[in-house]
Amino acid sequence: MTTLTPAVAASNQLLGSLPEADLQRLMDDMRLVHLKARQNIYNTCQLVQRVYFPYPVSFRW
Amino acid sequence: MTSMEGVDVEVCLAGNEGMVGDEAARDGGVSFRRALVQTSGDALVLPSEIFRREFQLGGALQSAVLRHQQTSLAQTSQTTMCNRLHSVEERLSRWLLMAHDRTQGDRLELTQEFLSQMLGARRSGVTIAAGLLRDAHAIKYTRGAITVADRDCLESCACGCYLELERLLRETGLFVNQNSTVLQ
Repeated sequence: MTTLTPAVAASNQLLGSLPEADLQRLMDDMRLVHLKARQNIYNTCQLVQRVYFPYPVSFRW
Repeated sequence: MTSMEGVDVEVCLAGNEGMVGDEAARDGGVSFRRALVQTSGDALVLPSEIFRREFQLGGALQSAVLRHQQTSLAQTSQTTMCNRLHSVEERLSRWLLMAHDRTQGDRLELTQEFLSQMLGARRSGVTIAAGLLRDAHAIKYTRGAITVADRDCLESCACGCYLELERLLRETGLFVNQNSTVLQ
């Protein structure tokens, strides 16, 4: 498993567009997870409890 | 999204250019869509309350998320039009290019059943379209996986929706493809 560093976080382009201080603040609560193909992230009408920044996994809705 | 009859159709695709779960920016962030991982890999995960708190500060994260939402809406709109107007072969080419842009490498773990769901097309139509792309040497496929063999060829088989979406993503400044030759 890759170690979470600012460079890894910035490999997601949305996060990578943030100023360094903003990204660093978010990283304190961020973790890296591995997701399997076909894994359900959330369903319709479900409370979204976590947000995901893919790197390099892809999702569909 | 899932219809009343229980049929899944893809309405949007996200990769390392964006995020999943931006509904959490609102208080009481309930999703009106289902989110499914398409190809395995890693992601950075953040609790919703932390994300919402940062979003509501009105800084750079809010701007980036709003840009992402704009491009997602554009993608959904373009996909709706594409599904109505273009052939399965063109749509399949577009979809494979979009998936290829958002993943690392040329191999996409996909079944034709899964592709038929994503394209809102019959499986038999997807089989024929995939066969045409294979015969054109644009892709190779084996059970459960499709490999992009000739990206230029695949781009020539896609409808104009792919380039239109690429243009929009480029203008928002949020997206640089990993695999695309279009933007290089």
